[in-house]
Amino acid sequence: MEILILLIAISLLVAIGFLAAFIWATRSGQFDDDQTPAMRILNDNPAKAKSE
Amino acid sequence: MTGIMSLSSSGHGPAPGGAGTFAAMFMPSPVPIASDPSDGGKALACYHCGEPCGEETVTDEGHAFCCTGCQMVYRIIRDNGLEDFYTISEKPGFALARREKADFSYLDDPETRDRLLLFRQGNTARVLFRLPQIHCASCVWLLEKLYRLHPGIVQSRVQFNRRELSVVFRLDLLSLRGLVELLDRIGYRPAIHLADVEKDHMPGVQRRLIYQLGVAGFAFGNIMLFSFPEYLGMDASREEGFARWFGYLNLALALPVFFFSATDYFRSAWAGIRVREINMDVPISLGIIALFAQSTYDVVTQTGPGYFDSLAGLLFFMLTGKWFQQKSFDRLSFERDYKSYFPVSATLEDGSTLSLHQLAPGHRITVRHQELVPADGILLEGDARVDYSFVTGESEPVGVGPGEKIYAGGRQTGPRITLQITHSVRQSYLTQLWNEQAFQTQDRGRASRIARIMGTWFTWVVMAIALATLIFWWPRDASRAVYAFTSVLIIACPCAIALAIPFIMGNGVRLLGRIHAYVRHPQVLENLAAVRTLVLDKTGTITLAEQSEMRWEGVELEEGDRQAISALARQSMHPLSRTLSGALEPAPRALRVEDFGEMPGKGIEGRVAGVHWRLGRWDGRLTGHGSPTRVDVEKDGRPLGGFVFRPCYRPELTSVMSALPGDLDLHLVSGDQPVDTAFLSDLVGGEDRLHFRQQPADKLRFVENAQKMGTPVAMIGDGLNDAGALKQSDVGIVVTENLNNFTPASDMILAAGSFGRLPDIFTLSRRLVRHVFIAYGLALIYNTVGLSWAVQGQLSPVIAAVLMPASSVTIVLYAWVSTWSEAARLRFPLSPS
Repeated sequence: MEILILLIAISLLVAIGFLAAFIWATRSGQFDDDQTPAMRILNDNPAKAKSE
Repeated sequence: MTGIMSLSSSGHGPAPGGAGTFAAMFMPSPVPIASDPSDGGKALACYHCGEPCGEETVTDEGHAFCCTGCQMVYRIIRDNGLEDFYTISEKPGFALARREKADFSYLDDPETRDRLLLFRQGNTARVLFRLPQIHCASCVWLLEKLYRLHPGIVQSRVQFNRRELSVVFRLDLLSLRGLVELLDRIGYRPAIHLADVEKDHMPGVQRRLIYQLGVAGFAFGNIMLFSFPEYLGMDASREEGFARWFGYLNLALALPVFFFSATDYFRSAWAGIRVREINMDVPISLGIIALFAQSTYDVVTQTGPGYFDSLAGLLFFMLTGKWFQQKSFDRLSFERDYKSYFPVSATLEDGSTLSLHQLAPGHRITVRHQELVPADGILLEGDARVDYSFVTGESEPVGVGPGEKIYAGGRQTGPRITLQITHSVRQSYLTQLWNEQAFQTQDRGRASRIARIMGTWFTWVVMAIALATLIFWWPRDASRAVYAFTSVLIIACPCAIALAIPFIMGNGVRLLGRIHAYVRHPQVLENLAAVRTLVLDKTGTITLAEQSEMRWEGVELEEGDRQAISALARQSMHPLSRTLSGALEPAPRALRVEDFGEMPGKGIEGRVAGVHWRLGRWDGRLTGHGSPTRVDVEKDGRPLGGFVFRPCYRPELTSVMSALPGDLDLHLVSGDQPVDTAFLSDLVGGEDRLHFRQQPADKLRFVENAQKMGTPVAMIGDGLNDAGALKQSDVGIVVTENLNNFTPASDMILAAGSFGRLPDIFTLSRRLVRHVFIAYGLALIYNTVGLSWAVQGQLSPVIAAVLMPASSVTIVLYAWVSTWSEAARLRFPLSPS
């Protein structure tokens, strides 16, 4: 059953990794604007054909 | 004898004869009525703005444009390889032709510039613009490609729901003025006002709550995992020492929840206690502290697993409720004052610019067409026609003669005028209103009144039960007494109760957004439900802002007379003249006007077919505030009568008034002279409820006095002159024709098109409050069941872990079902529009 301790440690590490990712995402402003990115993602492709 | 002519307003075709009334459109800005596509046969839509092309049609590369302005924008966009602008959304552009040129030279002033820049390091600077014109995906696309238009622009980002553009640019390659002019050229004119240079820039999105919520959610999930053996009664784990380690792990996970996620509740509870007020956060904080203390004790002494799962779960649910409630309408500002409307600088007589702070009595400034008068002054020269629509709601410009006073907040419509400032910006008639008490007091109404009363009552009852439990058990079993005491505090934690208001009212705010009634904060709905006095402004609120009714009063006019008046009125650019000439049948081109003269503030005269005509108000001012505007007509010195312009009441007004809840005390408070008293007193239920000739400060006093009678007051208004009363009232509602327009600080912004929904808004708010009480009842049932265990000292962590989330989920479900069914009953649109 000692293996449980290792598993728990790993699961906690993974969870903390996700928490860190969440904090990073918040800090970089990903939750600040939930509308514009949805419009932005649709737009980019056709423009490249001409300019590049 | 009185004859009423029936005329069509659009200027097309002869008017049908006979009697009747008609409505003439008043256009406050010089926008000609777009030509009707049907009469042109095949109407071309402008490739840029989508408006029908008229006489000025320009063709470029097979695309038609309604004006050279649109063509120019097209060329800028095409030459930079950005044609996709036209393929992303339909009609992405907007008409530019009729816009006035703007002067941005004040941006060259280093002080003004530095105040506007958010950030500057060396030659790199960042600036934030508000661009109300942003409306579609194409706008976002184009504005984020600005770097292709000028090498000095490094990066630009749009924040769509706030209608903001953030630009990083290089000051050595492009000045701020150059940047603004570039934006203006492609049709996005930044709104730069006094508030932008005066205040610190708006704080960004509140991220703290998001962190707190994330941490609580993270801890909640993991603590539940470690509590699984406990839930399932797996005693085997206990022997191996896992239970102990799981306990410590849970404690470690709960620490950030207690010391970070929960801190706002402690702070709010402490703030309440300090002013001797027990709000809802007091019992919540008590419960959280008891939970944490008891659990830590259990784990450290190894007497049990603790309630950490309940602790993290409760905070997760409560913070979710808070987050749900916080979402507001980013696009709208509820805090605006005159500074969001006034320009940054004024132009002195010699052409130099002066920042508005430095403007002092004695300065002579010039105000051009469509520019705003920034401070009270006396007209020195020029033909002043001041549009006070933002101040008074009145749409007709007021003529002012030399030597007369012009008040701050008015907009000049006409040629350039010169005036001498008599008061500084802050001391001007209108802006003085902001020195009133109402504007000094801090925002009161944020905390829910219901929750406060509930909190006080709840805390005392819970404390009494807990103490009784403690006293009962103490002589028998001291350790059990302490355990039962904390159990009572834990189970009685009114967390489910705290969820009722955020979810019910928060959802109510969203639902109202669908009928274009935008509420500042969910608390407003609770205040609205308590309102028993409703104060209405007249002009622009219950009347249509841009429409008025024109009637002829006097001897019957012959066709020749009408044509002569029309021909004469055609010569003048005065808005009233233009309405007249548009409303009367067009005069034959052959009809010539000789000896034409225009006296500012009085009227026009001229000779038509040998007959001398005079139109206007030769005995006094052309328009008076509020009194029905009248244009007298004189033929060879003989008065024939006059055209009377009357405000046009909103068509839904009568039905709205009768549908309002019967217990509302209605009052009409207007700055105007008494008009239509019979009709209006019918509407509000008595002549003593009509209050005319009220100055802005009088309106504020009126609301204040009504509040002294003990009932909460709602005020509905539209202009800056209502700003004081709106601020003073418990619920200030602003009616606006255009959501991008300036609206004074308020609690609710109501789109004019939804004025008919006013009774529904009152009904909804009252029903929602009723649902809050029902939800409280449900939560209390859970609390009572839990208490029966707690007082016996038998509350186990598993029971708590089931009971507390169950009550929270019940409340959220009830909130959801009740708000949606109310929305369906009131026939709100089921999807956002």
